[in-house]
Amino acid sequence: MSTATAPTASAPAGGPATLRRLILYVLLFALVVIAASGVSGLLERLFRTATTLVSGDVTGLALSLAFTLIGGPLALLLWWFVWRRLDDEAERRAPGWGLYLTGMYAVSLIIATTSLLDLATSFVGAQESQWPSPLATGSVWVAIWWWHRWMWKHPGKASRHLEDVRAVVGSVFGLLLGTGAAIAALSALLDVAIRGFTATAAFEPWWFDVLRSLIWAAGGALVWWWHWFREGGRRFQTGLVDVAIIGVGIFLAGITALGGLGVILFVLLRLAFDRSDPLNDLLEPLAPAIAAAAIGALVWRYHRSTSVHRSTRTRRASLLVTSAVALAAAASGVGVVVNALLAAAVSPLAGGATRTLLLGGVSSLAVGAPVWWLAWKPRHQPRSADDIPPGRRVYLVAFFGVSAVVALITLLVIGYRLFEFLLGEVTGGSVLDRIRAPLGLLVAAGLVAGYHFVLWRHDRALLAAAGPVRQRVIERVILVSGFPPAAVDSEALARGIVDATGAKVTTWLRADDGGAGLPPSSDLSPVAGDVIRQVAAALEASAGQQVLVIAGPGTRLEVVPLMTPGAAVPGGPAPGRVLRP
Amino acid sequence: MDDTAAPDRTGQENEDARKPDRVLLALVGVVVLLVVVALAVVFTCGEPAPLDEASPAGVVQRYSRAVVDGDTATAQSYLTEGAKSRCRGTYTGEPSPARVVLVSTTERTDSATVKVSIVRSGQGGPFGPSEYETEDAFSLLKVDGKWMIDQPPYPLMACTVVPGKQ
Repeated sequence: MSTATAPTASAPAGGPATLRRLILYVLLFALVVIAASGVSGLLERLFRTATTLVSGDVTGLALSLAFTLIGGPLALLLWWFVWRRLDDEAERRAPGWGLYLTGMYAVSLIIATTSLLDLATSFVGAQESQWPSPLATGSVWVAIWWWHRWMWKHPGKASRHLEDVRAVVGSVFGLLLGTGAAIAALSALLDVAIRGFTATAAFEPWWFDVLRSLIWAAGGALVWWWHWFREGGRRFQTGLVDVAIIGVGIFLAGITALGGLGVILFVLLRLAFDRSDPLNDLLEPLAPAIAAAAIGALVWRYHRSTSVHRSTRTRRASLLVTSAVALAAAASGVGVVVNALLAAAVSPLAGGATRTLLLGGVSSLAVGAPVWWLAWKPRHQPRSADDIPPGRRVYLVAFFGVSAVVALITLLVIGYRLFEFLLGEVTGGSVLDRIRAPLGLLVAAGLVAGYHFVLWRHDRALLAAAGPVRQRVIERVILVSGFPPAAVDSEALARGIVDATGAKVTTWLRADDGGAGLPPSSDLSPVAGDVIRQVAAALEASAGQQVLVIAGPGTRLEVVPLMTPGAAVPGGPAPGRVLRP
Repeated sequence: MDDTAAPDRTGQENEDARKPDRVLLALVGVVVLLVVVALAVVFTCGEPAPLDEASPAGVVQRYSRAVVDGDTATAQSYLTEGAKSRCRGTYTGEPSPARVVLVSTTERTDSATVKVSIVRSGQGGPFGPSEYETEDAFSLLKVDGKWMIDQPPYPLMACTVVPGKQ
């Protein structure tokens, strides 16, 4: 998404004001951290007084006192100064304030959550004396978190354009923490079920470990739920939320699930064909792999179905990312298979491990290839220029480029080893053994690059055959919305234009009552869907890479192609068209 | 992708559409062939060919095989007295050596150097096992007409700890 809401007030002169804000917010950040560290140090000391017999740590106390008594008042003073200035719209819109809020919110959320969860887990097992430190840190940082949340949601000084940032920061952190801890908990439980409690039995009951991970997972899930549902993270239709869904929910979760599945298959294949290691060692990676596959697939599935209900762009991106992860797995599997084939051709002095290597490659290929086939649908590729979706060409070029870089690096390594062999006294077998890994990667990269290059050329031929109609691609749309916000949401309108044209859309709201000379025709309040359809149809017929769209009030719709001063326009400047004045 | 083929196409377009299909088939064929050949080769290849025990490389081979198999007693029988006295237990680092390949042999009258490449493989990596390769050297001495290892590389160190001699 590329909707940007334009500033509604002019900021004071750029340079000095930006520098002042930068210094101010960096200073405020540092002072808040210093004061928090001092107060939590003092609190910890207070909590420990009941159990401390002799206290001789003068240095620590002096430091905590200095941090609290100097850092605290200065932080409050600076905050008061900053807070007073935030009455000004330009100050609230400044990137410095947004960065400060985001940074401090993220830091306080992370420290508060981890300290409180640390506190909760310190009661599991025999670690009673560990509670004062996490309790002190946790309570101070929870207060700071609450304070920044209050500032962020303050009705008079709110940063409305940053609402989604808070939700994304919190939900991504919660999701990562919850997923990681849930995988650890499930893995510990499954490990006991699969291999028995051999290692942990000596120190403490096996379920202590599971319980600790479960507490961490519950904490992470709570943070995620709070930001995703309560704070409404999932409702924001912004680019940042899309990036979070694609990056964490599809990409990372996809890698986790596919990696886990690959290791499960690898262990099963080794059990069947390669029992070179003791059974206990063979089964060791099975439990974490099952846990990673199960939790990763759950997270991936949730975000996949979420992305389906969002814009077409998000849905396409989620498919492309899934396909990319699966292709990476399949291609590295092919590389490892070639590697194992070459390893078998060399007679080593001792050992072998070729079979293990081959089974690893086969399992990676067997997991990646079907998922890639389902996500990419190689049998149903575009047959005409209209079928080519916008993100596809970027994907093709990216894969072609990445595999070309991999091929270049592996070629350099192979060349280095070959010259070493030609110039020195090295046996032929050892050369093959040392180039087998890069050679495998080279083969895999070559296959990937070849396939994507052919597809890219095919698409280009289709586009060229479709003729000059496709060349008039609209790159940027400046949307001026004159509709009252209650009738047509300008953000929904912008999103619709993005979906219809693929152009970057900058949204402006009319500050006047609908323009001079035009009657305020609010008798007809159009539906957003109709307006989007009309704008899309008007843009379809419009010539020019930059287009100004004035929509509303009422039924007014004007589409004006724009050009930069001095640029040559083929066929003369196209006149602006008032479709329905 | 949610694309569906357009119902009416000209012959030229049909021809164009087949092109990636042929490439796809060729690539799938290459991958399947690679996997089948690799499976056949790897599952039919036997133990590494034994080298002459009277050569430095043969001694290194027998010692390395014993170390990889975890047979410390046999490994120790290829060490000189000096090596045994200097040895401080067995290398237990992870990942453990899984494959030793001969790089070069330099033979002198009473001493020899055998360079090897040691491949250690671990479970790590999201897609398949990962391997680390290092190059190291054995120093051998001729003791009573037999080649003995005087200095094994650190990852291939294997001996029972002997009490320190004064």
